[in-house]
Amino acid sequence: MSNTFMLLLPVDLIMLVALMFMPVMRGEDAFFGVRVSPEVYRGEGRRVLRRYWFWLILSFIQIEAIGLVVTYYREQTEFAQIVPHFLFPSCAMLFYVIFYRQAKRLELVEEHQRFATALKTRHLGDYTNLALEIAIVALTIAPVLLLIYYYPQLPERIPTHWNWKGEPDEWTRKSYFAVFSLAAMMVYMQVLLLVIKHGVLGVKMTLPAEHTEEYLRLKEEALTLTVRFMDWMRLLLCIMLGSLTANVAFRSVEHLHFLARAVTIAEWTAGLLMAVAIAVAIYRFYKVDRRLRTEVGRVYVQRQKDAAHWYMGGLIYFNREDPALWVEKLVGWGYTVNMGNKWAYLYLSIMIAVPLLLFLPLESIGP
Amino acid sequence: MYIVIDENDRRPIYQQVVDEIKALIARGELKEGTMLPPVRQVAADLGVNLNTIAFAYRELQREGLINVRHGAGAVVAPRVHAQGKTDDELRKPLRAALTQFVLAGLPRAEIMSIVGDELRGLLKGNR
Repeated sequence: MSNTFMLLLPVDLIMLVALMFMPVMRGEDAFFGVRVSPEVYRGEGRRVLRRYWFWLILSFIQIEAIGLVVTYYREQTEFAQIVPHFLFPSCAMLFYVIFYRQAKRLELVEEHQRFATALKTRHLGDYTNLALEIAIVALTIAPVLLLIYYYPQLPERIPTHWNWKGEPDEWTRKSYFAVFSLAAMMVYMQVLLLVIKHGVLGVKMTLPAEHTEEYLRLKEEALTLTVRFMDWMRLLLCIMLGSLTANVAFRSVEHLHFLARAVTIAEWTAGLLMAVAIAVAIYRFYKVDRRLRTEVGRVYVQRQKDAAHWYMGGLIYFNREDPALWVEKLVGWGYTVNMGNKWAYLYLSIMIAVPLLLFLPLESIGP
Repeated sequence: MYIVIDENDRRPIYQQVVDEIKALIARGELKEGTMLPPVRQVAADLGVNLNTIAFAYRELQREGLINVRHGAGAVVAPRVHAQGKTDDELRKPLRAALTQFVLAGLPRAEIMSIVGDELRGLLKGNR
């Protein structure tokens, strides 16, 4: 019996917890993405939240129970085991939007507001660690050079997919495209992440007219945190994809076999460190928010005009009148793009198209 | 260093931007040679049209307070005495403001103390 269901269960559990706390992560400034007064937040808001939790948990238990029964008491295909893991997120999103509609009625509308903007420009150079950049470039180029050097010695069967032990389980015919598509992917990821980093530094910062100094300081702290997190991710991604790329040579060339194990260890270490980085980032984002609440009293400040342009309960920002491309997420931490900005579509299409172009043409051949 | 925009204010937004930046230059907080942020950044932060901010910058340039160079951005210009304005031109807004005080029925001594306060506030940054 395959254990796909049990493997995906923890993922569903994390998703359940995340969805439970999503509406209240940023307090009364973004209750289901809607700004409400503290009194409403503690009164009617709490009742809405309780109803939302009830439906969420109920659907979770039902869907997972059905998944469990299907997995253990019936000889079912893999498909039947995966379906619950698609069903639950869609169900949860539906509840989120339904309860967002209820929260919308409680919205606190401010007619006339005062805002500040800082007369300071953030430059990419000020947020760049040169040693790290050099390491990233070196780690990106090294596996490519290795593959170029060993290309004539590579066998006719090129691995394209590895199992968790680092052993290949899918192959394709040898060609320049097959050998270098992963390397191209790696370079593409690095360029994309650098472009995103640059964009995020120019994020829209709407500052309140009161407590401007503290608010800006804490928001810049969150920004520095994000950028540092991205730097770590870029380095770890580079190690991960770089070792995968190099593995093509290590697995295929006889006298390099001994390096294959080291590469697998490097991959697992990088993966583990990524998980640690995510956990640390979440904790520190939470701390910045808590300090915003105590020192400023507001976690998220925006113009009433902009507030009307968040959709799906504060998950999507679409505002044609806003020249900003990157904005701070209203629900959750980090940044998102203004979908009303035409550049957002260029971003998204490149993000989706390049990986597809690099991997779809690979034809899989049996072992 | 910030500029504040008030949606309640009757002045148009570009005028508020101009006035705020002028005040910062007058107080000496924005020193000669300081780079102003790009138009795109200010527009995005305040959620207004790019043209609004571009217009404000042009206005400041017209008054000789900033220099806008293509590619280099906007830089606070060196302070030139009176910036080629005639004495009467400079006095006009003061006269208008003082008229308001007189019409509001404030006694002479109080007007003097208000003017003194404001002037002290403006010059403090220069010392």
